[in-house]
Amino acid sequence: MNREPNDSRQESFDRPGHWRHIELVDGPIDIAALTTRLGDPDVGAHGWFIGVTRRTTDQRITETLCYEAHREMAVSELQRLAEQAAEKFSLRQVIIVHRLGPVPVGQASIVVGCCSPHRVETFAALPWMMDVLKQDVPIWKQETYVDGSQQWVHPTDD
Amino acid sequence: MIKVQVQMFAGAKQIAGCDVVEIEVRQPIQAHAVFDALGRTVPALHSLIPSCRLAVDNRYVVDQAIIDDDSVIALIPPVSGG
Repeated sequence: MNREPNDSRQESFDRPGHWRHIELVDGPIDIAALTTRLGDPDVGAHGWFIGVTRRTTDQRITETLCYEAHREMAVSELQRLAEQAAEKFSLRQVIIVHRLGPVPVGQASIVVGCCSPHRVETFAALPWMMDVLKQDVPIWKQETYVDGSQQWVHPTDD
Repeated sequence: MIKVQVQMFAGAKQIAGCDVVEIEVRQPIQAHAVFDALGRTVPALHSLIPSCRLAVDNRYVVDQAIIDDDSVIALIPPVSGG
């Protein structure tokens, strides 16, 4: 995985087979490397969400999104989110990696992965985690349009 | 009155023009007093503050919370990660 000096990372284990991986990265997210990390012979479902920079919003064309974070707090909030999700949806493993800085169109800004014994929990956990993340985790994005104008994005704009 | 520093992020940092704003507040420090002082110190923040939350030592606090004067205080505008 491409790691930069400012990367923030936290791993936690509570019992065998149950772990959370939280990471803020300043470069491209190596999705393939992450997918190999989820694995447990006792789960039947792996679920992934990959959020990418969208080119078109209404009539406006985006050139890039730039993400900024309160790093220390973002890591602790993501950790709390992962622990709550694991408890609520009986998840064995949770991965949340968020990219900071400029993210060009089509590239991933966030990757969330989880696994659980049954698919119902995995399906339900992903939107729940994204909703909580978009409400509570101190990460912000500024959109730069092709005309050069910039705008801080608010959650209701998504 | 004592002086405390408040960390700025995203749109709030852009409006304030700096990473940290120093404010004066009475003790005991309450979160709502921090908002009031920020509005007085940087009037341009006034319209953004009602949609912001305050974090103390990396946790969100309610308006009535009492804040230690050696805590790390951050103004948290509406978030938009993901």
